[in-house]
Amino acid sequence: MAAERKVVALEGCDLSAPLEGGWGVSKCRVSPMAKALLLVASLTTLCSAATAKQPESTKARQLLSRSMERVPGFNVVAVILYRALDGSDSEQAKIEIAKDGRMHRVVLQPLSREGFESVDDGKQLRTLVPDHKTILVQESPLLEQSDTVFRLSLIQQNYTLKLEPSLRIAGREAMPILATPKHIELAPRRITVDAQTGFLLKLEVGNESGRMEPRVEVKSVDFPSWLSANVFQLRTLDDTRVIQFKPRQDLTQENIADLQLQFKPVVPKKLPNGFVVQHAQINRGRFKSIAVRITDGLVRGTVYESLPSDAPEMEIESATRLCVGPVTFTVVMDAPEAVRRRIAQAFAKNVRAAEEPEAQVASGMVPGTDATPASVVNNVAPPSHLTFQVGGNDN
Amino acid sequence: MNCKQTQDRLSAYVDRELSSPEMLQVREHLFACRQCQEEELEYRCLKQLLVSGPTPEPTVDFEGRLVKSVLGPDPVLRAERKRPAYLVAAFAAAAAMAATLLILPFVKGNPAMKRPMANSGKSNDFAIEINRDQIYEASGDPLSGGHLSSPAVYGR
Repeated sequence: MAAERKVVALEGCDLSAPLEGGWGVSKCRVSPMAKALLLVASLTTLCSAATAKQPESTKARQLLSRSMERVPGFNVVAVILYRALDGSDSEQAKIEIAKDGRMHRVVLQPLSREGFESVDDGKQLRTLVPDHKTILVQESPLLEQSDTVFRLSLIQQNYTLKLEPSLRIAGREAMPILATPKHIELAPRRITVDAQTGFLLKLEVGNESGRMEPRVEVKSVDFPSWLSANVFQLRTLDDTRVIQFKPRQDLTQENIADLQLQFKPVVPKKLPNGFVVQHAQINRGRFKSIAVRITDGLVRGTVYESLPSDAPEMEIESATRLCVGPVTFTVVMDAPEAVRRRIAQAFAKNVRAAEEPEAQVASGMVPGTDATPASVVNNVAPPSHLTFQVGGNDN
Repeated sequence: MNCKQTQDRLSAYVDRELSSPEMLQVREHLFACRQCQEEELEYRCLKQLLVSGPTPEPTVDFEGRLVKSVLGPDPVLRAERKRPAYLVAAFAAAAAMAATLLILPFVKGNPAMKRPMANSGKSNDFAIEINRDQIYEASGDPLSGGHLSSPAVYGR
């Protein structure tokens, strides 16, 4: 439109005149001003064409990056319905997030968990379990550095992103992003975010029959300009039991010795299905266990390493357990059972490799014997603060 | 909500018949009031006992008698049966009350009848460890879908 308006400024150019073997405009008398306008118009047209052809995946990545940020930059009050991976359980919660990332969450349904409350004030994450009059206190996830850039690089490697036509969810204009995995064992995901803020409005995961099942669904949402500071204070009573957990520590060569574990922690260099190790932490709860955080960009999971006697058979949602010699791996991840099992097997392979020192470098790294950070493959650089930067693809 | 209001609603609360706001109010009061907690425990135990008791089978001629009573039996017969029915009902109520009074002291002192708590043992401890770590993970990363962020082991 802008280009059309500017073409009108051409002086003395008979646009209806027949062309003589070349570009008609060259035959016209054009003033310097008109030439400049013509140039601007051409550039504008080129730019707008380039913008229109901007890959959908770029727009999708921009939206995803906003929804991944732990510090949103706006206040949110929402009622969200969460469903378990196998559909066996669901939970409705009211969540309030301040623009600086502080969070308050209270469970509304089911009745058996009504009143469960979590408050993250930026320093501590406190969870009240009302029926047991217990408060669990641990450090805030907000203290971790942002991993958005790292994860976006992995998303680019492991998924094809497609922006779907906009729709309305909870009265908001929403942009669905279809993430199709490049690894066939993983499920496709549709992530629908608020078009204006990037806040996650719906998350659907493909099931075995190929149908998209909702996992997270916002029922109502508001973006108030102000939230009271009282929201981020957890109610306490005199007889409430407080369980304070020691802060997590990064797994390093130095603190492995202090830990006095009865098994060698395993941090593999290569994992299947495009997953990489993001970092490894020591959880100092009642048991000493290692939590290895893994991700393929979109899905984040944790592999817990502990003594078999400390991790007996139990029912945990989305978990797969594998016992290999002196260590038990419990993979907890929002992914199909087959994928979790392959991840567990990849960890188990490294236990065997540890028994054969020559094979160790080829198949993985066992901290305590070789804590040199592995080379980063596939040009994905993990955040610099992470202790054991590893990457790879075992497929 | 005060103690009286709470105790008026306790039966409905235990049967989960209250509306969500009322459930929350009662729960909040119970959270702070030990006396009402004990009352609630007694209600739960009593209901559990009643549920677990044997279900009496109707007699063979029950259906016939029921139809007859609905359709209206002979007025003479009705007058004859009035007194025994009243006496039976009164006896049943008295027996139920006596049984309740006899059972309650045992219920209070019997730890096995207390409110079900989370499973004990290492399995539960490890599940709690994982759950609290998953709360941490889910709080930091809503995009993964992750776990239901409540530690289900406490709630079930």
